[in-house]
Formats: sequence, structure tokens, C-alpha cells
Amino acid sequence: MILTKVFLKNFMCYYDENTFEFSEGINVVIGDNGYGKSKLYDAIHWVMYDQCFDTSADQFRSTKQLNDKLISDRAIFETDEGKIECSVSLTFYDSRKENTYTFERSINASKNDGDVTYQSDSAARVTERKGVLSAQIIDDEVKIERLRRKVLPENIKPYMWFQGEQIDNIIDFKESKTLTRAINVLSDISKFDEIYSITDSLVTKVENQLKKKQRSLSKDKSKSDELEEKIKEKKSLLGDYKNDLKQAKKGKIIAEERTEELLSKIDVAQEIRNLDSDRKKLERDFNKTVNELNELRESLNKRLFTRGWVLKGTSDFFKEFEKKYDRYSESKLDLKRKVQTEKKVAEKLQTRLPINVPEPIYVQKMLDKEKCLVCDREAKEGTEAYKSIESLIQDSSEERKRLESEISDRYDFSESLELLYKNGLRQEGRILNIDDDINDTLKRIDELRVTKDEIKRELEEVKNQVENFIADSSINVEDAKKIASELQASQSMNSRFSTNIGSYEGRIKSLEEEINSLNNKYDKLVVGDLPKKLVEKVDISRHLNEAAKSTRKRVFQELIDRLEKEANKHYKKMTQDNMSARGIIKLSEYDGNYTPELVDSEGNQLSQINMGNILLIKLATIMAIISARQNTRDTQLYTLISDAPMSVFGEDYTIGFCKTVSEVYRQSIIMSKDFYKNDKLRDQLLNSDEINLGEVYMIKPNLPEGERESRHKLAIEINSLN
Amino acid sequence: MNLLDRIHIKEPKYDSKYYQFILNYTIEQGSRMGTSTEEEKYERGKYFSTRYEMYMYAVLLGLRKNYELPLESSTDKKSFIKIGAWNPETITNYIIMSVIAKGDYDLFEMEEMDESELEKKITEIKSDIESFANGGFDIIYAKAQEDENYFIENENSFLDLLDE
Repeated sequence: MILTKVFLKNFMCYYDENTFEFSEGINVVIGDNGYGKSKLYDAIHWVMYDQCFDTSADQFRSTKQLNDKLISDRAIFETDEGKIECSVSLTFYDSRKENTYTFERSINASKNDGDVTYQSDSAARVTERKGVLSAQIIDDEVKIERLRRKVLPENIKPYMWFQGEQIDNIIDFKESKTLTRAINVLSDISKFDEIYSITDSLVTKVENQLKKKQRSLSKDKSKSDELEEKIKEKKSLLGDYKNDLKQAKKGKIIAEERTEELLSKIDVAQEIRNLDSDRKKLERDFNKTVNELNELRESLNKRLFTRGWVLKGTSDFFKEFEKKYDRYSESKLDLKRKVQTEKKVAEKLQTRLPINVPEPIYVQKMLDKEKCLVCDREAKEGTEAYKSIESLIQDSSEERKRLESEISDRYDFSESLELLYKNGLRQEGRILNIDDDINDTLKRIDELRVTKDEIKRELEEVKNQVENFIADSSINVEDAKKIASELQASQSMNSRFSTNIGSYEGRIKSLEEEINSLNNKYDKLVVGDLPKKLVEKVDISRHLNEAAKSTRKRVFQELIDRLEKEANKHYKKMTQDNMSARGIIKLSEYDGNYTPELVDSEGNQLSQINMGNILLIKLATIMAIISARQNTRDTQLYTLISDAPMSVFGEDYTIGFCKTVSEVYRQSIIMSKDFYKNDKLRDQLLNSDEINLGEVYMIKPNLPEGERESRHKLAIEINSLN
Repeated sequence: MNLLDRIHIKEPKYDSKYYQFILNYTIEQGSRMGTSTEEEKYERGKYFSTRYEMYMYAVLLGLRKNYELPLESSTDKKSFIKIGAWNPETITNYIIMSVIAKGDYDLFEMEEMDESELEKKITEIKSDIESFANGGFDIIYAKAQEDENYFIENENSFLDLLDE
């Protein structure tokens, strides 16, 4: 049967009615992350199994647990009052019988006075339409179950319907049970396990009978009991050590795988760390530049005063003041000079008088005596000689008095004017440099602007590089920081497991020797012959047990070989366009566990396998589990439905995967983001002759990014691309 | 009291029509006075920290453009803080020096004057400062009227205006 139609009404982000029609070949639903691809997968799964896969919890959740998450928020929001219906139906077509089957599941909610009540259970309905006849509801539970198995049998479900995130767990080479489960899909190996189990209990039973007989024939029963007790103790200890050894070996495989995985990431992680450190440095430089720039811009007007820019071009004022100040100073000097002159006159007068004769007392004495004491002649009052002597006193004292009073009565601005002059002189020096200072500052602002833009560009570039590295490698900055220390931890864990393995193996060997020696001692205590038949019985049962064990191992290995061969067929096809991926998948057995390796035709192991390779191998193995089933037509009967199976191994293998899938399965439905941004890849998908293409859809939300949080308006637009 | 002290105690006035205009480019006086950081000033689109800064700028602009616009007695005036409180003092004194240099002041003669004559002269110096400031404000105001974005969009506007 093939799935021909999926109809969704108000299911999660699919508001209102939405229809996808599918045909044979590979059908692809393209959309970026968060565009509704997984919700489509959820819808299909929900109809058939009443549950959806919750990636955050890594498990399926039932309708009861999902409850309000199933119905479109917009449908709830836009309904004022009454019932809100959410339903999904899948239409399958059986081309052999020309019958159409529709599986439908629905759940309702109701709104009263703004309160929303959700139904806790969903309702399912299956209808059948034979040929052109009208559809009939099937209410026979047995028939419904039979039809359900016809859509997809339970044992192959994990390998036919899965999400990208699940691939790693579907086939876990470290967990032998996941491989055994896969092998059981290929062929029922459980009967070999049963045979082995029967022979194992047979051996225990006859060995106990033998022990019992040996004890009854012992010459020293208490010694035998003592030895038996010791053997029992040692065996129990041996069991513990064997168990420890098994755990250590398993741990070593995990540590080795982890080491390999981390080694494959370490270079990228280092690159991310370097870029992140560059980013931080650039951010620091950017902030420093912006701060300096802002500081300069902000202080530009302040500098009018702090650096005297406001005085720009005013040096002429100082020159004018200087002239005024010079005139002032000269006038002041003139005044001082006059006083000085008068003093000099007085001094001159003094020089004309006899030395050591006090003046003007001496001159006054001459007037009093009316006699010139210098020439000893008469100088009567009123005479010319008297007047001449008298004038000596009057002239000099009056002029001095006049000048002295002029100086003492006037204001003195000399101190203030000197201060203004000196300040002006200092400012004149600054004024001469203002233009240079302003130009230097504006030049610095321009430089900082250029530097800021350059750093911003570099920063954007580094951020883009980091984002690209993160997108390509799925390693974020935090992971990148941890990888080196995790690698060291995983390497030291690996070496600790190796040491432990050696130590357990040594202890096991010595314990086995001890048990053998105790068994010998126990045998020697037996007197007389043991019943021959019993001895033979023990011998035969041990042989049978060995045979059952080796047969189971051989059959298992044969199935592994078949799986390996088929997986290689798919792997080769998927990687044929990629030169970097070469080699043959080899599932190497290691103490019951299988490890995938890539080897050359000589069997030599090739380079270390990274996560992408491992997932590619796992995907090839998953496909092989179905395609290698003998005498079945599973790939023709059932539809492969997978959500983002290619997201982990990169775009280089996308087309190879599509070719392989379209060749192996009659119908497949793949949800993918790989074709969303890569136009070239999308063209290849739509135009390749090697791909048997079904329907291709592009889906995207009706709201631009950023507004999508408002789920009250959200719907999905579906566009057919072919 | 010496000449400078006598000038420093004078409080020049300005035309009250410029009151709001000055505030537009100055950090609000009062509670914020002296406490605003350069960053705050920048964010608020203010160019001067205090009103006297803008006043000093206006006087120097008037002097530089040789544009004296005496405040008429009928003009409604706003009083202002005394010259001695302006900062930096070096620029304040340069302004006083420039006004004395530009004006008709015979310093020697002034020393001879009696008190009333001298006080008249000192008041004249203050009036000259007011006239040049008024001239400066007139230039700034006209510029703002001519191009309303001149002082908004150009962070160097007051620097550029000195050169125009």
C-alpha cells in the first residue's frame, strides 16, 4: 500500500485545512527548521499510534500527555465560542486490490466564556472503499488491526518510520541487543538461543549429578565439602570478574568511540575557540574605540573652554591690549621719572652747599641771620640776595609736594593690568596652537570612526565564520571549549579501561587455574569408579552445549555478513558522488559487540570514522535490515517515512541518499531542510534522471521570523514544486 | 579694591528673549548644576554645561565678529551671575582684557578719576561685555532661525560658527 494523501485540520501549526498528496517514488517535504516538517511526521505517527515523538524527552508521548499541544493555537484563538476540531487523516491505496483505506484520528476542544477545555482522548476511525464503491466505516477491531499491520508491521516499524534524531539509537553497535533485534527482523534467531539455553541447563543438571556421585565416593567427605565450598566461592568470584571484564570492554569501546568522535572534532573546535577569542578581542577593541570616540565627541564643546578653543582667532585683541598697556606703562614711568627729577634737583642743590652742612636747616639759618654763610656776605630781607637764598627752599619742596600728592591720590591699576597682560600673553601662546589642536582632535575622530567601521566589519566576518563553523559542525562555542578537556578525559578513561581489562584478565586466569587445581584435588578424593554412563552423559552434554553455542554464533555471523553486504550496497550508492567517502563497511565483532569500521579491499582499516560516517553507515544498515530480508517484498509493500534523516551527515550525501532511497523503496516520504537554502541541490533533486521522484513540497510559516512567537496568527503555506 | 576685583563683582545682563534659547543649549540650572556628566550633556543634545559658558561664548563671538549690539534701556533684561564666578578664570580675564582693548579706555587717565567717574567707566566695561554678548546671541539666534537643524545635526556647530 502507498500513502496517497495526508489531510490535516488544525493540527499543531497546521491551522485550518491542509492537504499533502503523495505518489510512488521519493516524496520530499522541504522546509527550514521550525517550518512544520516534524509536525507533519508527528501527524502521520499520531493517526496510526495515538502518540507523537517528543525529541526533547527522547520518547513517545500519548495524546493524554500531549493534550493541549495537539490543537492549533490560532484555531483556539480565533474561535469565539464552541467546538474546535483537530483531525488528521491518512489515505492509503492498495493498487493490487484497488482498495482505498482512510485512517482518521481527531480530538476536539471547546471554548466557553474564554475558557478552553480539551478532550483527553482522541477518536479514531478507519474507512474502506472498494474500487469505485462508496466508503464504509470499518468497526471490526480485528480487521482494523490487520489493516494497521498491512500499513506497517510492528517488527519493521523502527526501520521504516523514524526521525533523524532516532537513527543513533535504532542501531547502536555498542548495544548487542539492538543488533540482535535487527538480526531478528532478518531471520528468527531466537530458536538458536533456545537450543543453547536447553543444552546449558542440561550441562548444569548432569554436572550436578556427577558432583553428587563424586561426593558419595569421597574418602574424606568433610574435605570434599570444604573443596566444593571453595570451588563455589571461586566460581562466584570468577563470575564477578568476568562480568567486570565485560563491562570494562564495553566501557573501552565507548571510550574509544568517544575519543575518535572528539578527535574528529578537535581541529574544528580549536578553530571555533580561536575565532571566538578573536571575536572577544575585536569586541573589546570595538568597545574601546567607541568609548574613545564618544568621549571625544561628547567633550568637543567642553574643549571650547578646557582647551581654550573659544579663543580661536582672538590674538589681535591681545595685541591691541598690549599697545594700551604699553601706553599706560609709559605714562606711569613718566610720572615716576618726574618725581625722580625733582629728587635729583634737590640732590643737585645739596651738592652746591658745603659738605656736612645740614640742608635746608642751613639755608633757613642764613635767612634768619640775613647773611650768606657760604660767601659770608650780607643778605638783608627784601634784597635780591635774600630772595635768591629763599627760592632754594621753596622751589624744590613745592614741586615735590605736588608730585607726591599726585601719585598718592590716583588709583593704581598696575597689578590688575599686569595680571591681564600676563594672562593674555599666556593665552596668545595657546591661541597659536588652537587650529592644530582642533584639527588633531577632528582627525582623531575621523580615524576612530574608520577604525570603528573596520572593527565592526571584521567582527561581523568573525561572527559569520563562527556561525558557519557551528552550523557545519554542530559544535557550539561552549562545546568547543569543553572538547579538549573531554578528549583528555576520554583518553584517560580509555587507558584506565585498558589497565582494568589487563588486570581482570590476569585475575580470571589465575582464578581458573585455582579452580582447576581444586577440581583436581576434589577428583583425587574419589575412591572407586564413577558410573561410566554418567561420565559419558556429562561429556556429551558439554559437546552439545558447545555445538549449540557455535551454531548460534555462526548463524548470527552469517546474518551479520548478509546485513553487512546489503548495507555496503546502499552505502556505496549513497556515497558514489563523494570522492572523500571511500571504503567498505565492516562490522567487526569484539567480544559479542560489533563495531562498524571502514576498511579497504584488503581489509585494512581506513581513516577514523566521524559522526557523519557512523550515521551514514547506520542509515545504510537500517535500509539493509529491510532490503536484506529474504523472501519478502517489504520495500515494495511499505512506505519509508523519515523526518530529517540527512541532517546529520551533511549536504554532500543528500542526493546520493535520495537516489538510493528512491531505488530501494517503492514509496518514501522524506522531510528535509537540506534543499531549503541550497538551490543547486534542489534543482538536482527536481531534475535528476536517477531519482524516481514523487511529489515535492515547500512549506513555510505565513509569518516572518520574529513574529512567529505570536502563534495566534500562525498557519503553514504549502507549495507544490513539481 | 583693584580694577579686576571691581569688574569681577559686576553682573552682566542679557536680553530676556534669549532666556529659553540659552536653556535649549545648556544643562538645566539648579539641581543639575555642576553635576551633569559630559555623557548626559551629549545625550540631551546640550552643548554647554552652564549658562555662563554660553554667555562667554557669545561675548567672544561678538568680539570676534566685532558685532556690538547695546542692550537698550527699554529691553527686558535677565540678571546673571557675577563675572568673578565664571570659569575658567583665564578665559574670563581674557574677555575683560579684550573688551578693554576694544573700548575707548585710557587706563592711565582712569587711574586719575574720582570714584564716581571710575565707577561709570567700570560700568561701561560691563555694558560693553553685554553689548558683545548681545551681538553674539543675535548671530547664534539668526543662525538657528536660518537653519533649524544647524545646531541639532552638527555636533561641531558652535566650533564651526566661530569660523563662519
